[in-house]
Amino acid sequence: MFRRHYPRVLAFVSRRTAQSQAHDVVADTFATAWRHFARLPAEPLPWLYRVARNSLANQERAARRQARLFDRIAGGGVPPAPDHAVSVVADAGLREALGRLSRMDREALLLIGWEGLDHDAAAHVLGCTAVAFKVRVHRARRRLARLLAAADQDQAPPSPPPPPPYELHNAASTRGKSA
Amino acid sequence: MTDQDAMTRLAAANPVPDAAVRDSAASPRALLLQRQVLAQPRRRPAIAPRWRYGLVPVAAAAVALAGYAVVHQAAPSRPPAPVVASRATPQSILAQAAAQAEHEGRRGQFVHATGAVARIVHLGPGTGYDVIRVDSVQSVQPADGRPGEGWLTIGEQGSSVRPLTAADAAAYAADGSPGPAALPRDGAQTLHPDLAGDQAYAGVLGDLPDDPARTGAAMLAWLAEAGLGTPADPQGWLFRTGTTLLDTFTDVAAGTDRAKIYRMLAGLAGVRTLAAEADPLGRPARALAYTAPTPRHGLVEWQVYLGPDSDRITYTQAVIRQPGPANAGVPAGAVQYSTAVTAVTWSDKP
Repeated sequence: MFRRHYPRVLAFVSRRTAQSQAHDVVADTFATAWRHFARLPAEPLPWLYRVARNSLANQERAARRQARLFDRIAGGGVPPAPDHAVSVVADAGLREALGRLSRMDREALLLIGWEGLDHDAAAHVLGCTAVAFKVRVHRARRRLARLLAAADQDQAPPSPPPPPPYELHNAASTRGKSA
Repeated sequence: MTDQDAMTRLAAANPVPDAAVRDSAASPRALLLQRQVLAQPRRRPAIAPRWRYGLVPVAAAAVALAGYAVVHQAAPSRPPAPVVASRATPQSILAQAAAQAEHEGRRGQFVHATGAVARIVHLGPGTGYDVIRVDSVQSVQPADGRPGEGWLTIGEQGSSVRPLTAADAAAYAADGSPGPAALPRDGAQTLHPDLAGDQAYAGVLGDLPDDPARTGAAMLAWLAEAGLGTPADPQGWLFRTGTTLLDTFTDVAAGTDRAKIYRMLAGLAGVRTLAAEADPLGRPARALAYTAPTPRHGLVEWQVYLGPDSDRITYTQAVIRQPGPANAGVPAGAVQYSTAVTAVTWSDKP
């Protein structure tokens, strides 16, 4: 079980947190799996992903507590850390579109697009029914497509500005002269 | 941009391609983690199926025979064991088992058990039909609560499928008589399907009090402390959980801990003995039962059979006394699942 699923769990976690913390989360995930070995389903990968998500959430909560503590100590505001999965996306338009999705919508799409899970397995990871997941992912896909289209439009290279009047005049003069 | 284009673009932006981690399980870091995890004490005393492939099939014939017997017992054509109190009381049977567990001599470092499990599986579209799936079981566990890794396989030495009733037989044939490989292998592929919606007990058996009057309360307190609530029927939960902790296939408890659980079971209300002096395979046995309603599977009677001269559980089955919403097509008296232990040996090799 460990040998079969370690790479995919490591990839899952690495896509969602910094490399320095990923191995701790993976270790926590497999230690939990060992403690609950009797409850592991025949196909444990979605179960492992779910445990890893919980571990990541715990880690995020701890980081937020630490940030609040820093905030109190420093007396200043600490900007919230962006979602790691969004920040590591190289495609700027996609990064912006993902950032505008709700966390659950984003996670639903990532489970399909990056982890390659089917709807049933992904629903198990998110702790919802397959039907609810299907509806969520359908809507999220449409939102992502709309946001991507909008983001692409905003980032499209601007059309060349019309030449200033004097250039037109000069060109016309030139053409007129050459003619 | 279409939805599909968006998903294609998302997939292409995957920051950690699978190829980048494909060989990571063999990395020194992964191997170290594996050793560290396996070195931790296993808090759960029961071990679920760990699918292993590549074992030499040595017990196929014995398992097939056991499976055949299990299937025939599971079919409702045979009337279920009558619920009549036998001469022995549950307390006397369980006290005897506790004494045997406590004084069980050391016979080897590992317990090897073989047998079969059977369960009803609902198939097909629409109202569908029911079949009985029977799988071989093999397990090796460290004996006497020794730390270490055990393993258990289900179906590796053979599996079979047959319709539950005559009506199911027609639907089964019309559906192309699917074999074991065609049946869904979902999370229900466990030794003891959870019919009652029980929370699993994962406390340390050695930490439970020796006083039988306090053992069950401590197990329930563990549930509450773990945030798992209190079962609607605490006596039923203790019976099912206790007998699962004593399961022969997944036995990893020390004799003293087994004795503790047997004594806890002896103090439960609602446990009774069955008149049958043999298990469904015809072997001499002492049988205990507990009946309780479940939310989805109706009224269920959990039966546990102990060998006559040992504290080992040799057979368990869940008999449907009145079907519920999840098994509406199952006739009363059918066996929702059963486990049969056909051989137990000890050795110093896993």
